[in-house]
This record gives sequence, C-alpha cells and structure tokens, in this order.
Amino acid sequence: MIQLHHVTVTAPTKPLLHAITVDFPANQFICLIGASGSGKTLLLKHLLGLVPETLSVGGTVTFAEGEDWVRGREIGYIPQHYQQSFVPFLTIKETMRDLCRAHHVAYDKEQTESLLCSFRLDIDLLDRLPHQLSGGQLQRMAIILAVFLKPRLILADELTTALDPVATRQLLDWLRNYQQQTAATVLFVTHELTHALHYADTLYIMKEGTIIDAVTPETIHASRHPYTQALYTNRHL
Amino acid sequence: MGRLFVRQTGEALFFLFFMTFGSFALLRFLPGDPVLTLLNIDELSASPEQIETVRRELGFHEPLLAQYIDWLSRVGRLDLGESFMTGRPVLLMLGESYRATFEIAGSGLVLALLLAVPLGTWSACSNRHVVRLTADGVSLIGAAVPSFWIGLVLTDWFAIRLPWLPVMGRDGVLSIVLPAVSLSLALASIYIQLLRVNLQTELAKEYIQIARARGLSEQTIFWKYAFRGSLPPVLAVFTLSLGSLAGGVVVLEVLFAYPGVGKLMVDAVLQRDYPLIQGYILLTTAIIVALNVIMRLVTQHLRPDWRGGGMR
Amino acid sequence: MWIGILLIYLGTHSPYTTDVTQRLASSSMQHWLGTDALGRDFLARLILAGVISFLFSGVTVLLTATVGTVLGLFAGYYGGLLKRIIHRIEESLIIFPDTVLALVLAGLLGAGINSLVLAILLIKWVSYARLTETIVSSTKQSEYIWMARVNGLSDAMIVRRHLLWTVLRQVRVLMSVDIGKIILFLSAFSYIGLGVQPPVPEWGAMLNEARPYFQAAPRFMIWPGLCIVLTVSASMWWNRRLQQQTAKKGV
Repeated sequence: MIQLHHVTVTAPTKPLLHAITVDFPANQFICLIGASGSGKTLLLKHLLGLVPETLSVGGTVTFAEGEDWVRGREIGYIPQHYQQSFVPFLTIKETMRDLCRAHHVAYDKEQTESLLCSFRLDIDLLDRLPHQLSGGQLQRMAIILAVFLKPRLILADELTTALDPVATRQLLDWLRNYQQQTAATVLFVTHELTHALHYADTLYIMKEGTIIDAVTPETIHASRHPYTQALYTNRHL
Repeated sequence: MGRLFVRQTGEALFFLFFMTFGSFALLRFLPGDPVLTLLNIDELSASPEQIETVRRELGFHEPLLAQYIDWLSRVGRLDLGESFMTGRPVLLMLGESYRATFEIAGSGLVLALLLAVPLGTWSACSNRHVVRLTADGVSLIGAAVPSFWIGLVLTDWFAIRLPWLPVMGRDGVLSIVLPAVSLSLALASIYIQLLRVNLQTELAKEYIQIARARGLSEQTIFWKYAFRGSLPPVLAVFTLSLGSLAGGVVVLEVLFAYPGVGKLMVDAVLQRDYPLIQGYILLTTAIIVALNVIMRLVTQHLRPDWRGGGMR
Repeated sequence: MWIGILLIYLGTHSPYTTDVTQRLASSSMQHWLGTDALGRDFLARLILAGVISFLFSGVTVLLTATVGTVLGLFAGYYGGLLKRIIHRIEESLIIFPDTVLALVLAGLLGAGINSLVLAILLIKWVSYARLTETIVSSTKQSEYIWMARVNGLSDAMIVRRHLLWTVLRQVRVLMSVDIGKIILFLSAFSYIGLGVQPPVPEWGAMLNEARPYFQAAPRFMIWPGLCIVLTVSASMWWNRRLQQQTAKKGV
C-alpha cells in the first residue's frame, strides 16, 4: 500500500539509502529492523519529507492511490527523544492547539481527555509546561500528539531503548492494540529483534542503507539471507 | 513567582544603595577639594576662613554616614542639589540632558533595529550566500569601525562638503540624523549577530524538528517557536545595550556637541562637579536597574521555563 | 617585517618634538605623512599611538583575564559558598554597562587611563570567570580525571595538567577579541579627553586634536581612524582563527 520505488538518499560523499523498492502492506504492524547506521531513521524521515536539504533525494513514494498524506495528520510521528519534543515554553494544551490549528482541525476537548484517560494521565497535566512532567508522562503525551488526529500511518522511532521491560511491554501492547482497532499502519523502527518477533505482522531487515529481506515471525527462521539468519540466531543476547 | 520578584527588587534596590553610597564615599576620600571647585577659585585668592565657612555650609565636616543620610533624605524630596558648575538644580539639568540623549539614542536604536532585525532573522534561516554576506559585512563594519569615526567622516561628507545637515548642536530634527546614523551601525552590528546566533541555536533544537514532523508550517515554527525561544539571551544583551545608552551616548554627544547626558558628564568629570556626578550615578543606576527588572519579567513571561544567565 | 620598518621610523623620528616652522606640512621624504598642527611628525605619532594602544590593551587584557580566570577557577573547583559569593557579585555587575562605569570611575577617580583600566577590569573579569568556571565544573566530572585518579596521580597534578591547559586555550580565544574591543574603548575615551592625556599620542585623541584641520588635510581624519579599524579587524580575525583551532581540537 505504501509504495516506495527506487528511493535513494545521497550525501555528497556517499549513498545513505539506495535502491529501496518495497510495498509496505496496509493495516499491519510492521517492524523495521537493523543496526545503527543502517538507515532506518533516515527512511522514516524520508517518509515524512524531512530529509535535510544537504542530502539529495531520488525515487518515488506513494501512499494510498491518489491520496495526499500530510505529515502530522495522516502520518503520525512518535519521536525517540520525547523529552525534547515539546515546545519548552508552551503548555501541553497550547502545543496541541497549535497542532490542531496547523491542520485546520478544531480542538476536540473530549477526545483529548479520553485519550489521556486511556493512558492514565491526569487532565491537569495539559496545563503544565513540559519540564514539569516526568519522562514517562512526556512519552505518553508524545504518543497522544502523534495519534490524536487519527493518522493512517504511524512512524515510531526506537521507542523502547530507554525503557525497562515492563514499560516496554505496556507501550508495545498499547501500540499493537491501537493499530488493530483503528486499522492504521504502524512502522516501528527498532534494533531489538525479540520485540519485533512478538508484535510485528511483517519484518523488514535493513542493512547499510537498503532493505535486504522481508519476513514474518513465522518464516524468519527459514530465511535464506545470511544477515537475517545471524540476527535470528543471536536474538537473545 | 511573586516571591522571586520581591527578591529581585530587593537586590536591585540594594545595588542602587551600594552604588550611590560607594561613589559618595569615594568622592569624599579623594584628593582635590570640592569646595575649591565650587568656589571656582584657586587656593591663593580665598582666605582659609572663607573656605572653611563654605565647607561647613555644605556639611563636609560631618561624618560620612551622616552626609549620606542627609543626601538620601534630600533625594527623597527630589532635591538632588545644585551643580557646582552652573548652580542650577541637578535634577533639572539631568532631566534636560536625558531628553536630548533620548533623542539620539532613541533614533539610533530604531535605525539599528530596522537594519538588524531583518538581516539577523533572515540570515539565520536562509541558505543564500548573499544574505549571509550582507549580514556579516554590516556586522563587521559596525564592530571594527569606531562610531565616532563614522561620525567624523559623515560630518565631513554631509555637513561640510555637502551642507545638507548641521555640523553640530541640537537644532531641530535634522541635527539628529548624523548622530543617530553613526550610532546605529555599531548597535546594528551587535544585534545582527545576537539574533542570528541565537536563532540558529534555537532552530537546531529537537522540538523544532519535531514540530516540523507534526506538520506545523515554517512560518509558525520560525516566529512562534524559534524566535520566541531565542529571546532570553537576546533580550539580556539588548537590555545591556539599552543600559549603556541610558548612560549617555558619550562619544557621539561630545562629537556633535549634542547636549545629552554623556556630554554633561564629561564636563562634570573634568570639573569635578560632585552633585552632578552623584545625581547622574543615582539616576542612571536606577534606570539600568529598572530596565533589568523589566527585562527579567518579560523573559519570565515569554519563557516560563527559562533559568540561568548567559555570558557577557 | 612591516613592524620592523615602522619601529625604525619611530626610532628616528620623534613623535614629540614640535617644530612650529613646519606646521601642517604634507608628505615629504623627511616626514612620510607630514606633520601635525604642532609640527610633530604625523606618522611617528601614529606608530607610537599604536604601540601605546597595544600596551594598554595587552596589559589590561592580561590583568582582567588573570583576575577573572583565578576567580573562576576557585568558583569552579571549590564550589560552595565561595562560588555563590562570586556569582552574586557577577550578577550585580553584569547589568552595568562598561561605558557608564568608565564614566563614573573617571568622575570619581579623575580622568586618565587608570580609571579606564579599572573600569574595564571590573566589567570584563566576569566573562573570564564564567568561562573558566564552566570549563572547570564540566571537566571536574569528566571521565579522564576519574581515570587519572584511578591511576594514582595526586589531585594537584591532575589539576595542573589537564584543567589549566584547557582553560588557557579557551581563555586565549576570549582574550584575542577583547584586545580589539579594548582598543576601541580606549580610543573612544581618548577622543573625549578622558583617556590618554596629551601630549601622549593616541588614535582617538589624534582625531580630536586634528578636527579643525580635516578640511585642509584629510589625512588627519583618515589615518588614525584607519589604524583603529585595521587593528580591531586584525583582532577579530585572530579571534576567528583561534576559535576554529579550538573547535578542531574538540575542546
């Protein structure tokens, strides 16, 4: 459904993403696995249209046929560094209002409050400044900001790196749930194969700037690709 | 919130007292007899008794603290004494002079901002070579070229060779032009760099990138977020420059014989006119302190999350 | 090399001898840039003014940097009450503009370069103190000091080796730009008569002295000003180079 055709991103000295041709299936929880530097985050940025101007870009990206997906609305982004993702001098509510205004949508108080509830967050927190919230609260707020305009595609970047196993499970359970309920597509970037195997419908393996393999949790053990095999055998380290 | 304000006001007042008392004390302990300056005579032509009488009248024989308190109480009644040079009330003289300084400083400031704000903001977000070059060029000139030299050169061109503008004095609107222009370049230089550096720092921050990822427009991001975000250090330095201006645009006032506070003080310093100097210290410190308090309040409002100071 | 030529010129031509018969002479072999209103050699005065500016600026910067760095070192290394006191003083001083303070000090202590040095010292030490303190506190916590401790070096040696070197390199950068700024400051105050006192030459003062003669001899207006601009630009250029150097070394 989300088609990438010969996507490339090049820096002046070397190619960063090359020959990426893939058709991400819709309504699935998709994981993008790879080592640091394999280009996962860059691919996300490209889908958002936010590749730095110093790099040159090639290839085409098509979201659902004939539709124009806007970042922030149809494409939601959950950042890795959630703590710095809020405007430090605006309350959470003001930041949300800005978001609504930017997409010409009215601020829906009820929906916001119900989302807060489902994350077990106090409504008062909306009137606080980011530095007054804890890390965990901020992360949940960041997720709310990413999903509350009901995106069709959710890009999640290494969300669980700093989380303990319990928090990780809660987060990923929620995300999986949400994906199934809203029939959105989740593109989840991580380097933890075990997480991916547990939650994903499909996995795409990235190495050195390109997608080298596509598997499902059921078929991964049978993959012919040496790198995939290596990842799989060493997944419990 | 209110507690912080009270504490800062308290500190400000303390600073004011400290400055005035300090200068009071210093003046009294220095060589040179203020009475002689007042009487405008040298030691030969007045008898010791006369000098002593005047000294007693002025209260110079009292202990230091008593003199200070006496001065303070007069200040409370808005009486800052009379100038040694002219005999006129200090408050009046300072008032007139501040008005003149405000004319030059105000116009210079406006011109500087007209130049600096567009150049500074534009060079922060643009990648075009021309923009950066212009901004850097103006900054460089304003920083390396002394304002009084610009004043001299401009006077030569536009007041002498081409008699369009008055050479000096305070004489209607035209006489503000040259001083204001000379001042504006140096100020603009500071402001351009100030804006540019701080905007760039702010624009590189994570929350800006995320805002973009969330779909906010570049306009919104630049003005509502980056610009506002970059203001605390900008305002701090800006207030510093305002404070400097409040003390008088010394060199330019002397150059253009514009009767502002700076020029007044130069004369007062050369003549050792203590009441005037004292009054100046009081008023200028008060203005500077007030400006700083305002600046802190504004910063607090714009960035309630802000803490900590910066470098000079 | 250039400096050599200029210094020789200075050596052979006195900047002070007045010769009323030669007033306002234009350039000649004997006086490369002519003479001023009192018949003194103009170029010689320019050169001497330069020497004096550098001396003044150099001494002041060294003084300021030393005071500031020492205080910053104490504040950063020992912390606690000392640090808080220093901070308090810094905060009160930082709002005070240098021109005003110089004027005030001149008013209290009399006109002359002593007041200027004092004024500059009182204001500028803060920059050095803060810079030093930042470096010291961040380095205190940094890895390699911990490693050095582990390896058994004594505390004093740790300080001496690593900290001082880092601090000095950063301080040097700040000093380079301050030299130019101080020269500007000096020339401005000398222009109005509150700096260098006659007959000592100084670029700003020379601009003031020669003002009545600008029409007749524009060189009086051009040269001193140009000297100031070039010197300050040089200082800024040097500063930029030092900044690039330290950035490369990753301090």
